Amino acid sequence: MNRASITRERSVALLIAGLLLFNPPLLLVFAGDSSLFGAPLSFLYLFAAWAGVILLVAVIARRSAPPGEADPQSRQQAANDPGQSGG
Amino acid sequence: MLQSWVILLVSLGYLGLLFAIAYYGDKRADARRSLINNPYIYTLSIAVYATSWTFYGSVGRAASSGLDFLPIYLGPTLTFVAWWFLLTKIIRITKANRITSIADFIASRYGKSTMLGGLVTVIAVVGITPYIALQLKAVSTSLTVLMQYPSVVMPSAMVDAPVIPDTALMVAMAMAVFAILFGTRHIDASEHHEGMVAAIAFESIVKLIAFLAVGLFVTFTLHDGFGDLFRKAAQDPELTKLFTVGADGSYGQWITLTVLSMAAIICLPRQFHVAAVENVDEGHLKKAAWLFPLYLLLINIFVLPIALGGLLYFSNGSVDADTFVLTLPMAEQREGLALLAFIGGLSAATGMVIVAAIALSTMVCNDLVMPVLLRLTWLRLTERGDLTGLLLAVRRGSIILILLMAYGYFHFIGESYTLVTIGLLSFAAVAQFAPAMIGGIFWKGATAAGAFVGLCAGFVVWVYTLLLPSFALSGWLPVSFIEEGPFGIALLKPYALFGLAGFDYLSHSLFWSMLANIGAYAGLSLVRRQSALERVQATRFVDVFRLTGASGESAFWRGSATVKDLRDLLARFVGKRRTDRALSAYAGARGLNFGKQREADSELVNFAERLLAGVIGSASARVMVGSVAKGEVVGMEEVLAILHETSEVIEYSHRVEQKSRELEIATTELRAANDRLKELDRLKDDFLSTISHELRTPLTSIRSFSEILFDRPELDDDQRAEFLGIIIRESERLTRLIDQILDLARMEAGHMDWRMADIDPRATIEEAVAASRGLFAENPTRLDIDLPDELPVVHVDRDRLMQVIVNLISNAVKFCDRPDGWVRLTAEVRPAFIQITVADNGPGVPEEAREVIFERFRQVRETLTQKPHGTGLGLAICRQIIDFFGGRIWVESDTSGGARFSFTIPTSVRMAMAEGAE
Repeated sequence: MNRASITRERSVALLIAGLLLFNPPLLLVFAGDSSLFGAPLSFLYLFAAWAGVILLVAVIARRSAPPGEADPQSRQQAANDPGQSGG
Repeated sequence: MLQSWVILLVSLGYLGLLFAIAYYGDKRADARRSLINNPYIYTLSIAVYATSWTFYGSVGRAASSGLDFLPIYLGPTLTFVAWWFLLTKIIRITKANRITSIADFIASRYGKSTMLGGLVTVIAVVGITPYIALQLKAVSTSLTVLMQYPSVVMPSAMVDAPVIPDTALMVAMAMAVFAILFGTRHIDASEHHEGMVAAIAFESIVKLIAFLAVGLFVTFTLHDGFGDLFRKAAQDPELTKLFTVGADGSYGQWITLTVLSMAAIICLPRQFHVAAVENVDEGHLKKAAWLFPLYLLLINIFVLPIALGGLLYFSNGSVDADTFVLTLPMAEQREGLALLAFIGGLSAATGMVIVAAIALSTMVCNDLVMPVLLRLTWLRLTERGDLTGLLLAVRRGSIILILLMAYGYFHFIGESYTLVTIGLLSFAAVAQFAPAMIGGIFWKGATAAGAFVGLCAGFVVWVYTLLLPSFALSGWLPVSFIEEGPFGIALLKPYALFGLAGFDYLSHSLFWSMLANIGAYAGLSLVRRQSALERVQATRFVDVFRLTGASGESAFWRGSATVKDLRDLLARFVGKRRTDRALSAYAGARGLNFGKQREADSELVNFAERLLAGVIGSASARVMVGSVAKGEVVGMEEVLAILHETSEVIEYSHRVEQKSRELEIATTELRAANDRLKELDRLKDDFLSTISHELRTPLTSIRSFSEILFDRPELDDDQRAEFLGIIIRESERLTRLIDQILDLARMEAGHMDWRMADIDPRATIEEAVAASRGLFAENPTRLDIDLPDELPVVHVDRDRLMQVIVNLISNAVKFCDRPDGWVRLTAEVRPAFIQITVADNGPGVPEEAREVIFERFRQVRETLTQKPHGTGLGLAICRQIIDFFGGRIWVESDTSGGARFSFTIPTSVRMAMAEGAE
C-alpha cells in the first residue's frame, strides 16, 4: 500500500471520528450538569476533543504524501500556468 | 477621555494602517518578493471566517443558548480534516483552470455554462447580503455604544438622537470605498490581491488579540479564573442551563449547524476566494489544515466565559448580549481595552466585507454582467478597444451596489435580529452550492442540468422557508404568512412545510432545501445525458490529479488565429502592458518569436483563453476567443471520438504487447521442445543404427560360421564343436539383445509386467551373486561381498532386482583391472531405504560421462574404434527398473580410479508401518 492511500484512509477515519465526537449522541454522554475542576464537563469535553482532533490532523499532515503523488507530472501543471508568467 | 473624535481618529488610523499594509504587500508582489507566500499568512487569511459574528455574535448566542455557538467552528475543523482529498483538490482544480470565483468553479465544471455561473452569482449575492448586513450592524452598533462612553446604553434604548446620523450607512460607504481601493485598483490577470491578503491576515491577528484580551480581562480580572467564574454562574439555575449542550432539547439544530458550517467553509464566496483563488502554493494547506482549526479554537475559548461574565455583570438584562465584548470593559472604565475591543470588532467586520465584496463583485462582473454585455451585439463591445476600464467600472459599481443592498437589508429587516440569526440565513443559502461543488469534483456523471435545477430548487426552498419568513417577522409581509401559511393554506406554512413540524426552523429549511437540491441534482444527472463539453470538463475536474500538463487542451482548437488578433483581444481585457509581459514570457519559455510568427498555434490560443478566463471567467473567455479564432473549433464529439480512438489504440497496443510477450515465451518453449525433439531424433537414429549394428554383428558371425560348417563337411569334430559353440553363444547374445530391447521398449511404454512383492533383499543379492559366479570363473577376478546380517524387506520385482545386480556385477567384471581385478558388493541400511553398491578397480567413469552412461547405447569408449562391451542397454534398463522401484541409481568415481555404481531402494512401506506399530 502506498503512502497516498494511507494518508487518505487516515483522513477519512479522523473525519468520521470527528463527526462522532462533535455530535450527539456521544456529546450527550458529557451533557450532564456535572463539572470537573469547576468547569462544566461538556465545555471541557468539547474543547479537549477539538484539541485532540487538531493534534491528529497535524500529525497526519506531517506524515502525509503529496496529493495525487501517483502522477508526478500533475505538479507541473501549476507551473505551466500562464498566471505565473503573465501575472 | 474616550471622546468621539478619538474613536473616529483611531478607527480611521487603523484603516489607514491596513491600507498601508495592503500597499506594501502589492509592492512586494510586483517586485516578485511575495509577502504572503507562507503557510502562516495563508492560515490567517482563511481566518477571515471569523467575522463580527464570531467577535460579537458568538457571545450573544452563548448568552442565550449556551454551547450552541460552537458547531459553527467545529464544522470547519471537520472540513479541514478532509483537506488532503477535498481542499487540495479544489485548489488544484482552481489553479489548473484559472478559476476566479465559486461561480466560475461551478460553471466551469458543468461545461462552462454561462447560465449556471449567473445563477450561482445571483444566489451568492442574495444569500450573502444578510451576512454583510450583519457586519454593518455590528460595526454601527459597537460604534454607537462606544460613543456613549462612559455610560453603557443600547442604541435601541437611546432617548436622544444618535450622535452620528445613520451610522450604518456611513459604515457601509466607508467599507465600499475601502473594498474598491483594495480589490479593484487594477485588473489582475491572475485575480490575485496579495496586498489585500496581507491586510486580512493582519486583521486576523488583531481580532484574535483583542478578543483574547477581553476574555482574559473578564476571566482573570473581573473573576478569579475559569473555576471561579463557572462556580458563580452555577449558582444561578438560569445560567447553568448554558453549560450543557442542547439544553432546550434541540440536538437537531446542533447537527444542522455542524453541517451548515462544514459546507460554508468552502462554499462561502469569500472563503473560496482566500482559500483557493488567492492560494499561492497548495503546499501551504499542509500547515493550514491544523493551524486554522487551532485559530478557531483559540478565539472560542473565552466565548462562554465572556457570556457568563456579562450575564452576571448586567444581571438586569439591560444590555444586549451581542455587545458584551465591548460593554464589559466599558462598564469597568477600561478605556484602552474597550478601544482595542472595538478595533478588534472592526477588524473582523472589515475583513469579511472587503473579501466578500471583492469575491462577489468578481462574480457579478465575470459571470453576470460581462456575459450579458458581450452578447448584446448592438453594444459592439467585442470591437471596442481597451475594456479594462469597463471591467473595473463594473466591479466597482457592483461593490457599491452590494453594500447598498446590505445596508438596505440591515435597515429594513436586520435590526430586529441577533447577529448569529442573520448569519445562519447566509450559511443556509451558500450551503446550496455544496452538492454541485462536492459532487462535481468526485462524480463524473453529474450534469449541468442537474446542477442548475438542483440549485434553483434549493434556492427557491431557501427563499420560501428562511428569507420570506424573515421579511414577515420584520413586518414586510403579514405575519399570517408564517402562522397560517400563504392564503391560509396550512400545508404551505414556511416553518412547517407540508406539515413537517417539530424541527427548529433552520433544520426544517435545510432538510427541505437539500432534499430538493440533491434530489434534482442527482435525479436529473442520472436521467439526462451529458453534453460533450460537460464530459470533458467533468474529467478535467474529477481526474485533476491524473491529468497532465496544459498541452492536453490543445486538441480543442484545430484552427488558427493570428498572433495579432489574440494580442489585441488580450490587451482589451487584460491591459496592454500585462499582455505584452505575459506573451513575451510565454514566447521566452518556448523559444518562439512573435515578431516573425503570424499564425498562433492551438497552444497559444488555449493560453490566451485561460489568461482571459482569469479576468472575465471561463465561459466568457471561451466566447471571446471563439470570436477571433477563425478556424473551426473542433466539435466536442469529434474530440471525444479522437480521445476514444486514442484510448482504444492504447488499449490495443497494450494487448498487442501482451500477446507478443506471450508469443515470445511460447517461442522459447517451442524452441526448447524442438531442440529436445531434434536430440530425440538423433538418439533414435543412433539407436536404430546401433541396434542394426549390434544385431548384425552376432548375425554375421552366426551366418559365417554356419556357412563354414555347411560348406566344409570335412572339418574335424573339435573345430566343428568350437564353431557350433560360437554360433550358440552369438545366438544367445542375439536373444539377450532382443530381450533387452523389448524390455526397454516395454518399460518406456509402461507395458512392463511387474511382479511386485515384499522380499528379503539379502536372498536376492546372494542369488544374483551366485548367478554371476560363472563370470568370475572365466576371469581372474576377486569378488568381495559385504552384507549386513539383517536387511529390511523391500517391495520390488525380485527378478528385475536380480537383473540389476547381475548387470552391475558383470559390468564391473568387464571393466576391472586385469590381472588382479576385484569387485566389491556392499549393502547398507539407511533410514527408509537400503543402498547397494558395486565397486571395481577399473579405469572409472569420467566426470562428463557419469550421467550419459545411463542412456541407451551410450558407452564409455576410449577410442571410437574400440569394440563395445555388451549391448549398451544394460545401464539404461537398470535405471528404468530402479526408477520404477522409487530409488535412484548413480555412479561415483574418484581420481584413484575405480567406479562405484550405487542404487537405492526404499524399504517396504508395509514393513515400515509394521515397525512403527510395534
